[in-house]
Amino acid sequence: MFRTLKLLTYHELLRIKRDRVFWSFAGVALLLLFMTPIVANLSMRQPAQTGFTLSYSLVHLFLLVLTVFLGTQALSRAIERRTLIPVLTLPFSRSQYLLGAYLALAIVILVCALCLDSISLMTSMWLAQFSPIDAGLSVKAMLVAYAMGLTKYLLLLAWALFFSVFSTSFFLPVFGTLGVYIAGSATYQIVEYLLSNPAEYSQGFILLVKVLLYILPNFHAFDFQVYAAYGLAVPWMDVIWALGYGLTYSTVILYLATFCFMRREL
Amino acid sequence: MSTETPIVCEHLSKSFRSKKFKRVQALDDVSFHVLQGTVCGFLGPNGAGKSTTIKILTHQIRPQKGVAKLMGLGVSAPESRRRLGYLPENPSFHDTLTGREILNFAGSCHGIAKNALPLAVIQVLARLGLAHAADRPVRGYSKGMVQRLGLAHALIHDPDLLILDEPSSGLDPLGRALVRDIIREEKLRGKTVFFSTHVVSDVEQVCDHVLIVDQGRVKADAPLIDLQRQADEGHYQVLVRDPDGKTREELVYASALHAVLKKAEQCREVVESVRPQESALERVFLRLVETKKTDINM
Repeated sequence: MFRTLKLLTYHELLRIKRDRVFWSFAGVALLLLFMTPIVANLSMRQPAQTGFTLSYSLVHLFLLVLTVFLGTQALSRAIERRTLIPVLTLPFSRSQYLLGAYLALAIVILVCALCLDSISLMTSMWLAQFSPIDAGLSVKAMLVAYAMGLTKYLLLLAWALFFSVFSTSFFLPVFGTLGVYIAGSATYQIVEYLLSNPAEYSQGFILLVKVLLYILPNFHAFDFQVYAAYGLAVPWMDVIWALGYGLTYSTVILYLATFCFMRREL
Repeated sequence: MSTETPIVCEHLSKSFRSKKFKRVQALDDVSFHVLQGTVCGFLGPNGAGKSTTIKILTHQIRPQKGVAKLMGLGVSAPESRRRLGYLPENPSFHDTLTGREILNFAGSCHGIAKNALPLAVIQVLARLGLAHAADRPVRGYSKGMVQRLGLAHALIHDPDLLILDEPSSGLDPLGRALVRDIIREEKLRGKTVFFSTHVVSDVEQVCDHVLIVDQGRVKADAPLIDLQRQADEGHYQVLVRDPDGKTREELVYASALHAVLKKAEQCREVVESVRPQESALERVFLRLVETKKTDINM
């Protein structure tokens, strides 16, 4: 089981390593990231906070593009180009293939996040040396923010694979995954707005809205950027809760994707 | 080598929904067995159900009814493919990977030991005439080379059973001869080969058993020699040039050939060529599928 998973993961990694589009994205992300100190210095008062916020957003934009690109291409393009057939007729199950593909993509996203987050962290700390106001920047909180951001994209990757299982064209996987991302990013604000006047709604409706918040999913749970930028104490219970939520949610979506993939006719 | 029946299909039925939402019955109660050590040719016109059967056997699609087994195991079990070598119709691989990388992966998945893998890969590449392109990305391969790589992919682990879907497709005459040689070699080594094709002559040259399907039903399942015996009288194409220099073609029964040639001699005509029109198996095939010759891609 583990040997097969290792082989599948390695095979997928080899494919991604040769993907020119992937390297183009990575090159652009690196270039922009190295430019953040210049832009951050335009901020007169808090260059380190500006630099962190800017580089953090940039890393996340890149991780979003990468997740959508890799997650939606992994299966749908292989099905469309029929490269999946020689692979799936080897002696392993489709669930192993899907899990192997997820692990390979997760490793790529993890490595990219590690590299880019390291640059973001170093530039932010370097900028903080020149600004006493920025002394509050917390490395611990920054690391938490980076880790939770990664968890968010691993969850989104599960969704991308889920949509990829159904479709041979790129429309459903790409727009489906982007739809989940937009919905997941907006749900918390919508729920907060609805719950600002709880008297106007019934208890059942409020419960339904709260349940929906976590089904859609709730990407706000992974946002710890404010704690990092302003050096606030990390709410560890929230971190553990978000990690558990991300892990459970990803597992459920991957299970559903496997269930559908096992029944898909090639 | 085990003594299990390599391929068992019992009462397979499969229908698809067409683009106009009509049901198309691709397979209708198809049953057959392929015995150990035989080379079985799978013949049928376009849309007969050959690819559907092979897709069921390799677990790409599932039948609505019936049971399919490979090496005694249901096709849904990954272990049923452990001793299977499969060549899909028009195989396709990740084009950024090299032939060696693709075969390394396939060999590893089939459980070839890490230290034995490099030799197994280079041997199978040499057998298929691809050793020179081993480290070239597949995107630089010709169509015929990809087809050969597909065969190498099927042969890398020395399988007991080979299922080949149109193995000669996209190959030049040399490549086709190579495929026939490989099938013969595998047969001599006691392996089982099941291959679909449109080329009746390929079946006659290498098979000892023939399965003919049409419209999703088995029309014949018999040893090649038995089918050849069932063949009726064949035709000959005679090309004749008259004393004025004009040429004409005549299609004549074998029994009438002698009389036609004698008549041409009497009329001082020159017989330029006499060609047999169909092989015995071809005649049986045409009779069974009730299709005009021109409709069949041969």
